[in-house]
Formats: sequence, structure tokens, C-alpha cells
Amino acid sequence: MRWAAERSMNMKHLIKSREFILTLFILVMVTLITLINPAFFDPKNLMDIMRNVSYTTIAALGMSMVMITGGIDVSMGAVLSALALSCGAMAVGGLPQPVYLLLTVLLGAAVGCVNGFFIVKTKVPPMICTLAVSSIVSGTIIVITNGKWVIGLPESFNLIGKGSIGGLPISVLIMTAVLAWNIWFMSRSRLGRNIYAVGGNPGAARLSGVNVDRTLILTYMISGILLAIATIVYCTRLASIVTDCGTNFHIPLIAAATIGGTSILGGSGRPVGTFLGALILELFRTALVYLKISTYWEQAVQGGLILFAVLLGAISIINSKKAVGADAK
Amino acid sequence: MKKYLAIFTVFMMVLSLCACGSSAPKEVQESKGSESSQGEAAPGGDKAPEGDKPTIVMIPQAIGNEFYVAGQQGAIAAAGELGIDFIYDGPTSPQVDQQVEFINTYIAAGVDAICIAPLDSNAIAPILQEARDAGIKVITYDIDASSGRDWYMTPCVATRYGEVIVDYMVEQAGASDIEWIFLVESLGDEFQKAAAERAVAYAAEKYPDLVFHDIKQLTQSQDAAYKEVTDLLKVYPNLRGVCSIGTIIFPGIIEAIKDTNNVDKIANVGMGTPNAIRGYIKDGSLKTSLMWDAVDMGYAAIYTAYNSVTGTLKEGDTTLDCGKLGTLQISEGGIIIQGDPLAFEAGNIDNYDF
Amino acid sequence: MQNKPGLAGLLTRDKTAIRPPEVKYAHELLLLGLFAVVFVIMSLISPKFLTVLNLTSMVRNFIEYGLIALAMTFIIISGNIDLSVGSIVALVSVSIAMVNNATGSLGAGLAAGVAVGLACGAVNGLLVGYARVPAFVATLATQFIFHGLALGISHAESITGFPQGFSFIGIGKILGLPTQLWIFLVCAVIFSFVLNKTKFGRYIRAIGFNPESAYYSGINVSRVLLADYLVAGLMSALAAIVLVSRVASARATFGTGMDTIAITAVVLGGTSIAGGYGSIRGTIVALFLTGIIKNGLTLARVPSEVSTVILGALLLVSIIFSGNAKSWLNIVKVRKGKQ
Repeated sequence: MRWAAERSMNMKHLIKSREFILTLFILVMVTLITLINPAFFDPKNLMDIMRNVSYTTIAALGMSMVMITGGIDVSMGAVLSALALSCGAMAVGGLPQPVYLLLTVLLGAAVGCVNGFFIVKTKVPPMICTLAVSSIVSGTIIVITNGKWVIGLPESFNLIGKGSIGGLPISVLIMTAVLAWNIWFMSRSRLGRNIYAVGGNPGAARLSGVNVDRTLILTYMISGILLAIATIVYCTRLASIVTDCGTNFHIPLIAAATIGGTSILGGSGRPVGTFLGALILELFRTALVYLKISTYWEQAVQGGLILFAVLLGAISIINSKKAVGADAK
Repeated sequence: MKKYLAIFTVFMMVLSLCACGSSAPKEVQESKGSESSQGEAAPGGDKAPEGDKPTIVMIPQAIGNEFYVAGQQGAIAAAGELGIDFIYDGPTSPQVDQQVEFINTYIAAGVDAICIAPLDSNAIAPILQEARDAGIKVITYDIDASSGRDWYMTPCVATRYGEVIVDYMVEQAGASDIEWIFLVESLGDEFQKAAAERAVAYAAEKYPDLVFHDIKQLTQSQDAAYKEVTDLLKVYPNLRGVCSIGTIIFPGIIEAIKDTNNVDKIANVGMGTPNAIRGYIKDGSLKTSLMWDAVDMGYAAIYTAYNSVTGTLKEGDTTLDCGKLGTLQISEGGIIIQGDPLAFEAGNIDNYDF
Repeated sequence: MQNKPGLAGLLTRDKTAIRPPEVKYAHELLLLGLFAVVFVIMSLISPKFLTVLNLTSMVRNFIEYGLIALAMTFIIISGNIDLSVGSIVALVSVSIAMVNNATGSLGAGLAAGVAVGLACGAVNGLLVGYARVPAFVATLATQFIFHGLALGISHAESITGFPQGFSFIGIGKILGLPTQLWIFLVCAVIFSFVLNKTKFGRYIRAIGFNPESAYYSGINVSRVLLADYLVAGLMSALAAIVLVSRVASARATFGTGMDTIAITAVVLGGTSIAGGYGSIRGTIVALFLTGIIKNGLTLARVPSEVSTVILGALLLVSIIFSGNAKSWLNIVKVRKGKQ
């Protein structure tokens, strides 16, 4: 136990400094943008940013968990489309709101289980398995919907995405709750610790009694649930559900997790970092509008900013590896 | 052993999917009651085209796109009326090299005519010319190719669209000295680019007091458009007019204007499919959606293709008899015009289903 | 240890080439068997399949992906990935076109394109090899950057202005076979040779197996990875040249999605995504297999979305049943030295 405590204290020390760097970066960005365009620093605008970042954060937390186990899930985009379409279709079909929301979450959990099960039992590398699942899901979506959007959503549908309680948007409240839960979960619960163990060193984890298979399946299942919650927050903002609304959604998730400190090799990553990563990405996007960057150069600038954030991160990864003495895969 | 199992599994998979492929999930076709051109082919897929019915393939920009699905509906209706072997196929994601791939395959399949909505007018030209060289009639619809086609069926002329949308915006705003902006989904789309540029030029000519800000390309997603327009409204606080082209971004734009309580302040005209924006027209958040009848677009495209194959439509013709659409004008360069831009408003929104 | 300095030293013939383990052959045999079966089925389903016209046009369709997949095989064997290949194609395409128009010389345009491709590859190589940024994220960022640059300099317009003769690469034939097929075959032979018979091939396998021990056994990992990505940049440039020649124009929208298709072909071909093992032969068979499936299904009037599902399932099935997955697990166990 003492051994573990020492290790975590080292990690905590470094990762704290990473999150510190990220927060600093955010503050600098906000200041710069405000200097260029004071309209930016407006309470309503800042709350809008929080609202925009809410579903990305929730899903990125799931992606982060998967990455910590050393895996990756590139099917999240296609699954988001599928979940959104199902949710919308159920709503149009007249099911009561609590029912279709719950069913969407269950569906997300089921998909996660399937992914996890496949990966564990067939030993196919997660990237390939989820890549194949992504193809299958997106093809199936078109087969079922024939490209038609889901329209005619009932008024009540937009409650979660657009509603507020006591002045705070529901989506932000949900994000905060999920984030708080995830912080507790990853650091205090046994399953959370097991996730880090499995990602850091599956052999040692197995030898110390961790059921690696079960941990992995549960991780993917939880990630699926988080994705479903994120989908609910996302699609309840919309007026109609487009068949490919989730395409490439996994990319900002991976970017957010990586910027936030989750190593793609597994074994490290913290929820707060992921949140900050998602926030930085959203700030980039907003900044481009406020700075009136020409449409043609937007993508290049965005890529450059991501690269910059990633380089910041890469330095931290090297530092943390050196200090903890982990060996690279 | 496992190897044989795998090979056998895939064999069965391919066979069964070919079987289900030929009694294809083109339920739209079946349910419309029109002659099923896929036929009741035996498991193993369809063989050569039936008898001497011309085979016409329609290739949209992307398969899962509702806008083109509307075109498909019209095309199937036309196919039924004319009695042709109709195929609707295309890439699952809008990539130009995939469109080229499909055309290559259909040249080899020996179809009689190809109707295509090109993603890239220049890039598609060489392969279309190859198709023509192989004796296949090539019709472009929605967007034109720079060369290599026999006829171009346009739902409306892009530059005309640009002019009309500005007129509608000014009328809605009730003033001609407002600040305005033009939003598009993709500047790489010839129609959008031409319409947007003409709109700006026309506005400068006819309404010189208008203050124009920018032609801005939004991310092609409803949610992203919502965010971007919300931000734009903060960046340009005196914006009073928004013109846009893009069926995916339009609901996002409307929602952004709605949620910031700007419905009465901002004149908003754009391109939305009737089904997607009907709710907004009914509750008053939107007055006008400027578009065209996408179902008729497909209908006209097939009629053009058919008449081209049978020789009824010849070079130099100035009109085309287009079934239930009546007589269409053909302008120079082999451009068949479906009509003027069509405004969907409260009065006519219920007449359309796509 | 390297006797000759620099990148040249990497290409020296390796006399102690390690033979790939038997388990890999199983996967290739499976693929070849599948290929034969599918070929027969497709010929039976549609009479148009087995025609010269169809087969040549089908081949033309996937050569561009093939060129990139060759380079991607190396990258994945070394334990990395390159998501930016599609964007490099876009940037190179646009560069060729713009320089061609600016100087009036196609040669200058092509040279510029190759230079741009190499430059992009260098950026990737420096990020992954020297700055030690994880390949996934590094090439994700460069994917945006390169694509954004292509958009920026071309303003999303389509650029033409190529001389007629240029189409020969994309549309012409030599001795009855499409020109680009010859280009591909030559490249395939070179790649296969380099992988199996030179030091470079051995080095990238070693790096993929375990970068740390590769480093400690004297391999200049950073330099090898730089070369790896330079090759990817070069092949992307080549693919861009073929593509631009085929469609006689260039636009920043070219190349989107090419990375996924290339990666799928490589993995389907038996190369382990964990790195360390792989073959060019497998990639080529996988490429042809995917090609005939797509082509055959389209001729059989199977909707393209169903094709997508089938290909996704094929990927899973082939990996599960070939036993490649098991060997991956063994590799991971051995590499980690933990069990």
C-alpha cells in the first residue's frame, strides 16, 4: 500500500501541474480574445460556452476511460448517430420522455457491452474492432433510415438540451454531476483503480487479482452509458436528427482526452484534464468566430492550435514517464 | 478447420446479402406502387438488364442524404411511368473519387444512361467523357459538370437563386439599409458559390444601402451551425438580415435566431426542405424557405435521360416535354431548367412531402 | 549497428533478415482463398464482372489507396499510424495544380508536389520521431493543418490547366494494363524488398516490437521513424499525382477518408496494429479483395450501404479467424515480459 501511495503521490504531483498548465492556458486565451473583442467576456457567452462543451465533456470522459485501459473507441461517432436517431424516433413515436431517455441509456450500455465483449473475447485490438463496428453501424443506419431525417420532434424533447433550472442550464448541471462522479469514481472506487491498473500493466494487474476481462467490459459499458447521456444532451438541442450527425465525433473526444493528459498508451489520465481539454477545443472554435478568421483558414488555424496544445501535453507525458519510470510499450 | 469455417461463413454472408440486395430495401419503390425495376431476381442477385428496357442509373452526391432521397422518389415515379430499369446508387460519404469509382463500374456494367449530381464539376469531367465515349448518355442534375455531359438538368439557375433570395430578405426586413450576411454549407459547392457571389453583386447593384459583412462557410452540421450563428449574432450585434444556402445548417440557423429572441428583428431566408422546416413555418419562427421541388428534380432528370436515350431529345432542342411537369425550357449549352426558385411559405408548405 | 551514415545506410541489404513467423502465412492464405472464392462468386453473379473493361477500371479505382497502403504498412509495422495521408494528398494536389498554372510547366508542378509531400512527411516524422508526440494525435493535428493549408491556398476552388498528355498516368495503358497499375507493381516490389531484405525493414519491425529495446540495440529510432514518415509523404504525393492525372483537376477536398481505407487494407492484410509484424503481400491481397467485393456488389446491385456493412464485418471475421489475434496477444505478452 505504501508503494502505491508513493506512486500516486508522484503522479498526483505531476498531473496537478499539467492541469495547472492547462488552466493557465485557458485563462491566457480568454484574456487575449477579450482584448481583441470585449464582447467575448459576457456572462451569457461564457455560459453558452459551458453549454456547448457539456456533451463533448461527458462523452470524452467515456473515451478517456477507454484510453486509460490502453484501448480506443473510434465507433463513438457512428454510435452517437444511431443513439440520437433512436432517441428521436422513440420521441416521435409517442413514448413518454423518461421512458425513451432511459431506453437510450440502456441502448448505449448495450452497445458498450458488445464492444467490450468483442474486444475481450476475440482479443481483436480495440482500434480495429471499433473501426469495424463503426462501419457496420453507419451502414446499418442508412439501411434502416434510407437517409431520412427524424423530424416532427415533440416540444418536450428539447427540455434537457435547452432547459434551465434556477438559471443554470440543465446540460451544464448534468455535465457537472457526471464530472464529479467520474472524479470520485476514477480515484476512489475499486473499479476505477482497476482501470488504471489494467491500462498500466495488465499482467501485473491480473497477478494481483484484478479480473482484467470484467474490468474491460465494464469500462466499455460505462463508456457506452456516458456516450448515451452525452447523446441525450446533444440531440435534445436539435430540431431534427440528421442521419450522419455523429460522423467523426470521436475525433474531438480523442483530442480532448489527449490534451487533458490521457495517454493513448494507457495507464494515465484524469477527468479534470479531459474536461479542460474539451474546454480548450471549444474555446478554439469560438475564438475563430470572434477573431473573424477567414473561413478558408479556419481549419489550418484549428489544427495548429491543437498541435500546440498537444505539444504542451507531450512535454508533460515525457516528464511523467521519466519520473515514474514507466517503460514505453 | 477454422479457416474453412471462416471461408464458408463469408461465402454464405455474401450470397445471402446478394439475395437481400436484389429484393433490395428500396421499400420506397415498392410502397409507391410503381413498377419494381429490381424484379424478383433469384438469390444470387440480378443478372443483365431485363429485355430492352433502357437501364438508367442515378448517382447522388451521397446516399444517406435526405435531399437526394427526395430526388430518388421523383425518379422512381418517372421510371415507373416510362418503364425503365432504374438503379439508384452512390457513395455512402460524399467523396469525389468514390463517385468516379461508381461511374467506372457502371460503364463496365453497360448502362444506357447515367444521371449524376457531381461533387466536383471539374474532377468528374474526364470520367463522364469516358462514359460518353462508351455510348452512355450522361445527364448531370442539381450541379453541372464542366464538360463531358450531354445535358444538365438544373432545378433553378444558381445566379437567379442568388437574386431572388436577396429580394425576399429585403422584403421581409422591410428596409434596404440593413446589415446582412450570407451563410453557406460549402464554398466548394458550385451552386452555393455562384449563388452567394451573385447575391452579393446583385445586392450591391439593386440595394446599394445594404451593409454586407461576409460570405461565411459554416460547418456542415446543425449543432455546429447553431453555435456559430449564436456567436455571429454576438460578433455583429446589429445584424438584421441572414441569407443562407444549406439544408443541414438551416434548422440550426433558425434555432439560433429563435433562442436569442431575434425572430422579429432578423430577416431570415434560407434553403430548407419542407418537412424539416414545417414546424417553424407553422409557429411563425420562419416566413420563407427558398428552394425547389426536389422530388420533381429527380423526375425531370429521369425524363431527360430517357428522352436522350431514345433520341427524342436531340442537340439543339429548345424544349422538353416532361410528363406531369409540362414543357421545360432548354437554354444554351444543353441546360434544362426545371423552373424558378420556389418559396415554401405558410400557404403552400403542406403540399410537399420531402 | 549502422556502417554507413545517414538514411542511405538504412537501405543496405540485410543478410540476417528474420523470417516472419508461420502464423502470419495463415492469414495470407485465408485471404487468398477468400479472394478466389469471391472472384468466382462475383463472376457468376454478373456477366459484366469478368470483362476486361470492368477489371481494368476496377483496378484503377483502388491504386491510389494502394500506393498509400504500401507506405502505411511500414508505419503500422513500426507501431505507429498516419492519419494525415489524405490531407497530404489534398495539399500536394493543390500544389501541383497551382505551380503548374503559375509556371506553365507541369514538371515544375510535379516537382513541387513531391517536395510538398516530403515536407509534410518530414513534419510528421519530426513530431513522432523526435518530439515523441504519440503518432495518433500528432498525425491527427497535422491532418487538420495540411488540409487547412490546402483549403487556404486554393480557396476551396477546383484548379485545372493541365496538359492533355498528363492524363496518361491516370487513364492511359501500357501493354494493355492501366499505367498506374504498373506504377503500383513497381512500388510494391520495392516495398516488399525493403521490408524483407534490408536493414530498414528489420529496424521498423524491431521498433514496432519494442522501441526501447530497439533503441538500446543501437537503432537510431528517431531517424528511422523520420524516414518512415518521409516515405508516407512521398507515396501520398505519388497517389496525388495519379489522382490529379485521372480527374485532370485538383481541389482541397481530395483525399478525405483515404487514411481509414488504407489502414483497413493494411490491417485486413494481416499486419498487426500493435506493430512488429506485417507484410506487403497481405496488404496487396487485402486491397484486391476489397476491390472485387465493392465492384462485384455494385454490379450485383447491392446497395452501397450494405457493402459498407459487409466490409466492416469482413474485417472482424478475417482477424478473428486467422488466428492473427491470438498471435498479437502472444506478442504483447512476450513484449511486456510480464507473464
